[in-house]
Amino acid sequence: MPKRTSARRMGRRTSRAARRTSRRVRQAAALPAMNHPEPYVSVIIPAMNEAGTIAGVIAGARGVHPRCEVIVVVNGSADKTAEIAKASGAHVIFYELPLGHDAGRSVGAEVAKGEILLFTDGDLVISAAQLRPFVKAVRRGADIALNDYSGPVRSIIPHPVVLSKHVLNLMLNRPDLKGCSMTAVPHALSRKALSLLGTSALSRPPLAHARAIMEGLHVEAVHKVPVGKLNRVRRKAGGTDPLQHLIVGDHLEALSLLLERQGDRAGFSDGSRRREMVR
Amino acid sequence: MDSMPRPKRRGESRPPAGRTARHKASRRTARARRPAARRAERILAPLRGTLSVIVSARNEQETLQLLLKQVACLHPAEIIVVLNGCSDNSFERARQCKEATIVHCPASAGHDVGRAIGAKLSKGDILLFLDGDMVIPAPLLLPFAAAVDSGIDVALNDLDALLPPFGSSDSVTRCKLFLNYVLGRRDLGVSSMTAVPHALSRRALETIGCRELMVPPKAQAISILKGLRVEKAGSVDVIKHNRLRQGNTGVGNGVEQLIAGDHAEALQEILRHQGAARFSPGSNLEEHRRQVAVWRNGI
Repeated sequence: MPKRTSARRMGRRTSRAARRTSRRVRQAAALPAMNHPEPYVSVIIPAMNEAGTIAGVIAGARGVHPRCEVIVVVNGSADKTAEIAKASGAHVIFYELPLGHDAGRSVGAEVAKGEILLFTDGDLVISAAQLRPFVKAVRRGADIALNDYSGPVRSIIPHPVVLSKHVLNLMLNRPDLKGCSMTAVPHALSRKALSLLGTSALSRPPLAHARAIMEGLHVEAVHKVPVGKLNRVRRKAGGTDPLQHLIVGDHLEALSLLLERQGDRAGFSDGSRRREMVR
Repeated sequence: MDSMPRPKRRGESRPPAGRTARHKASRRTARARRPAARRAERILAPLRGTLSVIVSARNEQETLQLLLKQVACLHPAEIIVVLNGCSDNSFERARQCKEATIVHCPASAGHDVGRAIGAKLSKGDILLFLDGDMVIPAPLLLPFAAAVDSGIDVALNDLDALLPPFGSSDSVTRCKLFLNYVLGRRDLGVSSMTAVPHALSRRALETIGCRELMVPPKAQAISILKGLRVEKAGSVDVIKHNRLRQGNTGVGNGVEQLIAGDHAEALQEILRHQGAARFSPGSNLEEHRRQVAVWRNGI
């Protein structure tokens, strides 16, 4: 790995990350390729047919902390994802059938032993240096450390998922979070956040996100990993993604929960409106 | 202004560009303005239905009279001016317009309550809603009334061409976009009953109910949920000319918070009406999520 020279140099490296997805993160060789018996950090990696990237993902995860366990939730995979993960020393949980979108997070969290839980994904090769800020933020007192990435916002009318995330945060009175959300990885949770939310909540990240904020957990966007650029290009059915529907639906349910708990105006003031003036 | 899409009506000659027209309206003396008004009269095709114009104002003595002159060019059956919380000469200025019915409420009634009061008093087939803080030339107002005259129920102001990239848009814009998206009307962009000018049909008013006009995004949600015809009808740059006041400037200002709350009410209305049904897979949530995961990974 080249020596760090300046912030500019760092910037260039980050922006080049997109082209590097298939290359392995090398520093892994220096670390033991096995899980710590008493881990401080648990890294949870759902994976579905990610044989091409999983070794690199695990190598990056391994470097976040000296006391670290890597949990790979392999589901619905017809390739060698599980074998490769085992060879890399990860704790592999294997499901023959697909678990469902984001369900792997709950399964991984269930067995995690660490004080801090770091969530990432089997198709995103991210270096340890890019993952450490999330762990560090939780160690310093955050309950949920989010990826400071709001999705593509250059167009006038954004992607519905990007829009939903922004509006959910607005309605939660957290406009400062912009489009950052537990929907996106990487993000880290404190043990406290996990016990408050419960492992099953993690399968529906927008709901978990809304609950975390409403229940007063310390949620912050800590570090930007531009995952949009790293993400594999997925196929789309007739131009629309059924996943988009599912995620927007989850956001609406989160909003529904918010309105149920904080009233029809989500806690926002009605100004000086004298509603009784009109019948 | 010139580059913005504007629905053309047959026989309508090209109206003057908004900026110049506004400039004229505000600077010329009353005598010099008369020919302009007559010109506007000539180019405005008559409407089939009767028109009620509802102007809500709060301390708008500078613009109110000029706006009412433009409104008169539309030959409305009635002009209703709802003044609330005015401490300046708005009342006297409004009285200069002989056709206007003036509702004067000395205390502040709050945001958008004036619209609901005006609507309640109105009798016309077409209701055109305006704010007293901005002089809009009659030819730019006509498309809204004309759209309702030709069968649209809710005729909205199209501000899409004026939007910045999403990353630098304000929270109000984001709420408006989201509301239209959830209502299955992405084509409406940022168009909203929160913005003026907009026009309603009598049928729309009866369907929505006067009271609901106090919370414009909720009124919009009801309109679409109940199958009213909601369309963009014209384009008037109300962003550039909006009066900057204490309370509507800066991030997280009072008006932004108020409008966020209004959109919360609108979303609540939608959720009550249909649940998250349009987006949720129904009973078998887990199976659906599994299928999505399978589909996404191409197996």
